[in-house]
Amino acid sequence: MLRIVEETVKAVTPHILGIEAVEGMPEPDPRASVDFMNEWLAKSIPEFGILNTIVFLALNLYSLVRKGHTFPRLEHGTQADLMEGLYKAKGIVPLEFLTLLASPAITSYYSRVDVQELLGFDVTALREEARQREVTRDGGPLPPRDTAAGSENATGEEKE
Amino acid sequence: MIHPREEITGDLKLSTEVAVIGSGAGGATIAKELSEAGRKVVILEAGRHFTREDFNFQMDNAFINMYWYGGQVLTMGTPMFVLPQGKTVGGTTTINSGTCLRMPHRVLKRWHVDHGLWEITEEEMGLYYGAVEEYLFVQKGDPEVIGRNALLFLEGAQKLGLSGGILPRNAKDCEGYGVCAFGCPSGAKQSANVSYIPDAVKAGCDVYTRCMVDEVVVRGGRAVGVKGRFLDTVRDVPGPNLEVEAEVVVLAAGALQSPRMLLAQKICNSSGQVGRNLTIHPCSGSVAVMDEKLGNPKGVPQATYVDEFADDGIMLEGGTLPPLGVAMGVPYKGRRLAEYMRNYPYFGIFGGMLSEHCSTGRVIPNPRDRRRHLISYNLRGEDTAKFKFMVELMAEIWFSLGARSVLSPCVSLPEMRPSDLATFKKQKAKAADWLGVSAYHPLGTCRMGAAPEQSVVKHTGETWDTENLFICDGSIVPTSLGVNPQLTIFSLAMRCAGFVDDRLEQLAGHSAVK
Repeated sequence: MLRIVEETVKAVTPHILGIEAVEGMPEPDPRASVDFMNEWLAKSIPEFGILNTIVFLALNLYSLVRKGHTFPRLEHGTQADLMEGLYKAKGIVPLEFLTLLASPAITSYYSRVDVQELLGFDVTALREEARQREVTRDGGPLPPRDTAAGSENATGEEKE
Repeated sequence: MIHPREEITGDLKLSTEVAVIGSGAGGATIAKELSEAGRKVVILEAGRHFTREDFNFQMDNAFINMYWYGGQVLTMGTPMFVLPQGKTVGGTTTINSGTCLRMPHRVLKRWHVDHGLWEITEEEMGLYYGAVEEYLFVQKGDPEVIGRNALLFLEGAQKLGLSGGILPRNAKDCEGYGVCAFGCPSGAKQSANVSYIPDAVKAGCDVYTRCMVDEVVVRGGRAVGVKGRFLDTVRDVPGPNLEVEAEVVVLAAGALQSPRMLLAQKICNSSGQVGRNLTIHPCSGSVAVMDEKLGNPKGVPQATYVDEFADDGIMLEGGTLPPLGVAMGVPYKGRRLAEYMRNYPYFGIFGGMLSEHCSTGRVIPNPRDRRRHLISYNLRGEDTAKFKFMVELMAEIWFSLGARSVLSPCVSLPEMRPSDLATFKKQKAKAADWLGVSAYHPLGTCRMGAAPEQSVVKHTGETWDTENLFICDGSIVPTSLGVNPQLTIFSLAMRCAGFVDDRLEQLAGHSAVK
């Protein structure tokens, strides 16, 4: 990943997440956004990586034109103003642009165990529960034969 | 046994009766049936093998490790769909929601009338469906487990007079962890990785993972083996070579990879149909903010259905998702995203799919790298209006239950209040209006048929052009099924196994005479 892209991913993360406005949510971790993006792009098709690079470079170009500096070099408040302007943009292209820009931050933040737990998804407890209750194919009784197609099916059964 | 990539240190040459490319619903089933019939079978799988200990409830982990291209298989066209596909032992069955519905009667009739597939009878399919359902413990979800979300939506639909019910799934003793699409952490979901594959292995089948097949070796018009490469354990960097000599080759790499391979190799395409006739199920999620906590994501991601408009090609199935699954689809960023996500415990979550429609697409090899594919697909004509109707329908159901707002994939109205619904209904639908939509269930790209000039494989699954090369995955399904396809693919694979076995008998007889 280009250094400028990496710095932009880090700089944009708190703005995308907007956590500071909501009480009790854990602080964002910009480094985690970069780590996720690196791992993700390693598995994606090369064109997707290129597209992502273009999106983050485009944000810097926009920032340079509008505010005279690349995005990471702007003051936090100026970055926020710039992002607010982007959020107001209408149409499919700006929205797709924002989706790509936001993916690393959103994915790395909302997959954090502490964030998920705060939202009611207790991953740690569920992992432990699942670990202790392995389902095997042996032993258990066969379930009742419930054919259950939602619509008339190949064996001619009628809708429920 | 299942051979992990780590044990392969140099080039490998194997000899077998049957080489199966892919370990999903098609490949795993055929491997199990043939192995248990005493055949020597080798499965070659591009993904890694994961067990329930690896399934850690994390969507990001699953995307990166168990999905093709980190979950970013995209269609080119309007709108652009994300089309997630499994790349792991068990294929997409490992990361799907487990819904098991039989093909509707009207669809099989279409196979008969439009594609001449009279050999596939209702009675025969009924037997295969029954056998697969029993083997995979297919049953309706337990209302105590499937979650408040799905039951509430169903209740709302029924209050509006719409038909629906609880979905049948291949799950045994499911506790509703809500993460089926990231690998079942308890082993309750009977995906191929915990059912067909272990039984195939028990019967002597060998499974090689991280193995990318490049070529079906064809000699004198007959498939005689495959060539490929082992990939690095993490990245798709090619490593040692693999050559398998086989009497029969079964291509079961799915409806995107199977045609890509044939087209890259320029075989089996005298009909010109390879890669064409792609059908998918375009989908939209529907997230509502309710007044009560709905216990997300505990429950089953696809638990109930509304099939009132199934004959018109609209099926609603849901529903719960972990926070990340919702956050990725929220149209807001910044403060509004954070504020919206704070309501996660109150989210009503459901989904809908265009289950039968007229739009079709095409798969071609990427001209820059023929080991990858490009998918073109556009939502056409009345399908765009149907898609909009589906979004409206889900919103209407949520509003009837008292939802404060409902998210929509429509760029001009990303969040609807109850008062917006009437205006939304009056708007004209355009394919370019939809953002962040996904699609599932690709089918049809190597379709079965009675006429060699219009299809790629016979009703047996064998290709018209190359003897002893069978295709056995979603690509042979000639039409959209109107329902989730895994049960039909499992069943067709079971049927196909009989024809492969017959072919091996014939080949053995032929050698004996010689």
